[in-house]
Amino acid sequence: MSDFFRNSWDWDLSKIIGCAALVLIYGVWTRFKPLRSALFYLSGVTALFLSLASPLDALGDEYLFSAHMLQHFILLMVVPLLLILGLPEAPVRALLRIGWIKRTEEALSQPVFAWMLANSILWGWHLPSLYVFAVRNEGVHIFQHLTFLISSTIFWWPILAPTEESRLVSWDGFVYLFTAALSNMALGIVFTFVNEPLFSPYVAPEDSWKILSVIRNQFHLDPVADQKLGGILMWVLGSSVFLGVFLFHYGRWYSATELEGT
Amino acid sequence: VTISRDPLSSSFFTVTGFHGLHVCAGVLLFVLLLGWSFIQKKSDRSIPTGSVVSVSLYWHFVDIVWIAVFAIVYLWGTR
Repeated sequence: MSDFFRNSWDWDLSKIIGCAALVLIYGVWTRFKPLRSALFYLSGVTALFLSLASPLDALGDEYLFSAHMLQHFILLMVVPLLLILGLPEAPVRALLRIGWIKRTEEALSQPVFAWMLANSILWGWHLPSLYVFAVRNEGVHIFQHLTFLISSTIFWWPILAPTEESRLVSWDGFVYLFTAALSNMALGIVFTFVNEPLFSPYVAPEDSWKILSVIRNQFHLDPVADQKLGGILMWVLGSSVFLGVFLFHYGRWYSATELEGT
Repeated sequence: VTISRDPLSSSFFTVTGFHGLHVCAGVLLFVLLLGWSFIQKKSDRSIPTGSVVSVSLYWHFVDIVWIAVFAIVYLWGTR
């Protein structure tokens, strides 16, 4: 098992170049100022790289649904959050003064559109047929991860955008987050309570790393237990992030309306 | 005081309102269990223990949340 954790790192060039490009563009654009934003942004890129290149990726591709759900959680709810929180306000405002960028941003951050997009991507890719299709074809899998990153960035933008006028201000933000949390919870509940394996690759893995017996016998993760664990991870971790962002949004709304009242 | 007066009252009524809905749902479930157990008793059967365990777990979720709600609204809020 320790051999697996040492050797299954995937130093695939596309992942390195992608992450390096994210850092490079950001560095040229903001000169890493202010430092607080830069730290958020860099931890976002680090989380992205670790989720794609670490043994978690190999584990989720071949052996464990739960590992794959942890990876999806990072791609959907950790990376985009940190990247958006890492965008400093002034340069974003400057960008939004450019006509076509402003129009694109306005169109994409329509709350109903952003909500529907993110949730159809989330549910769609977890339908067993599409899920298995992505796991079996590397190209589709990369495309899947890109759609996750893009759709969830669009999803979190109306709540966390650095520019105030792009954000939902009050009750609409609460409804937006609350309903999305329910949707995520529902998907987690499905995988937690279904008693048969839904994803064929995990029933009989090819076992190219020779760790299947450890997973089955030492960790006691048979396909159904693994699937339930994946569902619980999605449910609990996802809900925790939603709760955190909800409270963050609540704090902003509360202090804004408090000021308005006095 | 109404829900739309200020942020504090909106928060208060939303939190206690949602908690109240959960309490109502719990009471309804208990009543349903009670009725079901009487129906089953007539034909000399009992209701599955799993259903009782589930409802009581739910009820304890509600009462643990109540500790948090009470602490935030009435202890922390009046400080």
